[in-house]
Amino acid sequence: MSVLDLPRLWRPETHQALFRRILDVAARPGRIADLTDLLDDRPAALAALATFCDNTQTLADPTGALSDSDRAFLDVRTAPVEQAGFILARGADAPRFTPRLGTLDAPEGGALIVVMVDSLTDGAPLTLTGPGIASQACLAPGGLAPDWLEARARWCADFPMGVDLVLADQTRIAVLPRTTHIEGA
Amino acid sequence: MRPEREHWACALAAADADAVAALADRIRRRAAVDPLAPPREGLMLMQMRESVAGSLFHLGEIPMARVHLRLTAPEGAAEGGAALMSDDLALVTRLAILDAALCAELPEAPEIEALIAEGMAVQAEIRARRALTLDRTRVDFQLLSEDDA
Amino acid sequence: MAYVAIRGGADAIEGSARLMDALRAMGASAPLELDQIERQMPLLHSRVLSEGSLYHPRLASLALKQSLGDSLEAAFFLRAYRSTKPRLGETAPHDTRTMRVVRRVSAAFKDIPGGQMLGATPDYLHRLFRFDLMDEDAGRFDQIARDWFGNRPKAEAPLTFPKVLDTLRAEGLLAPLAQSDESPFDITREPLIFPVPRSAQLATMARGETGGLLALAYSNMRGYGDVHPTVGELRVGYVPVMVPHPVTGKPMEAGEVLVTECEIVAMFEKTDSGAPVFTLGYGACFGHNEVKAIAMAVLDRAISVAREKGRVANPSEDPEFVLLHVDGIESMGFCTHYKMPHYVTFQSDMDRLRAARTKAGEAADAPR
Repeated sequence: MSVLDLPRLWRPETHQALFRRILDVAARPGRIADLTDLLDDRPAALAALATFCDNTQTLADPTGALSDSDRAFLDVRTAPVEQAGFILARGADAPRFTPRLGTLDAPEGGALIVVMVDSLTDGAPLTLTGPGIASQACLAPGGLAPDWLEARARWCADFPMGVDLVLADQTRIAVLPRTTHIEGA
Repeated sequence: MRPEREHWACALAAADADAVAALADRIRRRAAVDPLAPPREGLMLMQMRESVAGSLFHLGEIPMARVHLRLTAPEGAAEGGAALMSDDLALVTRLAILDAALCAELPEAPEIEALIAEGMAVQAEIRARRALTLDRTRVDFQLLSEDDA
Repeated sequence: MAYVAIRGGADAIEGSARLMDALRAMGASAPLELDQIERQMPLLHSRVLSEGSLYHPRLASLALKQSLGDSLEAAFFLRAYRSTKPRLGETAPHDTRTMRVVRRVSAAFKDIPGGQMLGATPDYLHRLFRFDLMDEDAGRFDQIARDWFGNRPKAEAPLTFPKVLDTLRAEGLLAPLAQSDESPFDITREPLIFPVPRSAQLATMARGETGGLLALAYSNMRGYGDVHPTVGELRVGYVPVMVPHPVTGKPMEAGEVLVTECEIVAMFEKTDSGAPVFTLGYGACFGHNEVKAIAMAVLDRAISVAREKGRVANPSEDPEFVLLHVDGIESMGFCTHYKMPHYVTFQSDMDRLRAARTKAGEAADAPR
């Protein structure tokens, strides 16, 4: 009774459950994680940010998608999009920035971009190969402007530097780590 | 004269703990209390500016708990907040509730003010004891050579 | 030389843990209360607060109780505990001009603004036993408190005072403050890779072990180095911790921290402008620990001297020597690990010794 009840999305145990699912699909690109039972009707993209962000991280929200309340609960510092460790972006809009790509000494400094899309399954199919994929996998994000894949290819050209993408529709997420090779679209 | 809002929490923390808890819990039973930020309890680095070169450094870590909430009672609503060097999130939550309740001028306001006054009296006693320490050990050294003058 | 993994001994280890408890509980004395440790051994308690680098008075008392009075182990408990807590951030910079002073002295000046107050100190007392302390009871404590607090002056005296050094600075006798806002180095997150900035040096020494800091500073004082310090100001008191109110954003007092701070004035040197100024050293730590603060200030000056001259003349001037050897948990931990089984590596040493002795014996027996 004496400590406040947090909304489900902001509870540490929810973040632990979310993290496990995100980690699983990041390890097996092409797989989709359904987060519905953990979301309480909040967007999956926000759930991904809630899992990753804390007061030691930086976030850029160039499209202003986050409410003041969500921002307060994320408890994350704001940084310009070229410097932030995490970025929230809309798949429909072509990216007009260059995110952090890391360095050869510290490639993990490359940004993680949470890209909001309409659906993970009813767009043009992409063929995925690479680490974590047995032979090939398929992902068909709808509402992802083609510029995103071009930009990603440029940003990840100097592997191990690059970025990792988390695609999120309303209730599900898929991860495209920089190690994944994408064909199609 | 009601003291400034930024003095309430530490004054209440110095007042009788059971009375503070009982009052906050009584208000909470008839109000909706919602967090506006994650209530946190952990450690902060205490930053100091040293006086020789004027540079910043960390003296060490201190416990800190921080709560920011909204209180909505039939008689009124307000945002409340408190931060205290403590690991007791329940205590700081109660202080934030009292902070909100006093701002909203709920019927319990006089009781809250009374507890604040009680805490301030405790703080005044501590100050008086420290002043006594200084007063009774104040030196007036004289060099031996001054005696001869 | 590595210690090895072993099996067995679980019963002995458990027996040992239970024995530590039994040792505490044997005899006729009552269990120690945490408050007794904090109130009646405040200087030992202060050591643990600063060496554990966590200002949690209640847990510092518990640490001393649980460790059977071992201050190194007690500091270790606090360090272990703090590693389990989330980091909320760092406070805004605090300044000891806000300190609610309980002791303030200067060796450099007889008259300082606000005056000198000894506070509670044994500095001017003989080290003669008070045998009456052997048999004290609660009634005696009540009497002592009544005697002290009775007949109190009514006036509200100031508790905060300006810094002595500010006066010297105003006269131009000290270098002006280079108010740097460079973010402090976080020694709890980053390893020390030399050269390190001054903030790393101050933070490392602030949680350094008192004896280690004292020995190194003393080596400098005794003549291995050339810091000739005078204590410009030593102050002990409670610094209010101010954090933003979650709603108004204005500073609110979240508590207070007992701090000891020492500024030493050392030899003068020429500055770029040609006019000579006094050089300074700084030391500050949690709790009431004057020897530590003075030792820190001497070492601060020693390290600065070496940096200014571009050469290290003795270990107390070498930042790497000082900073890597003053942490009590690191040094005690390494020393203690020698007791852990090293059977395999030692067996190989035995084998090599025997082989070498055999060879030496053969060489002695061989015909010329």
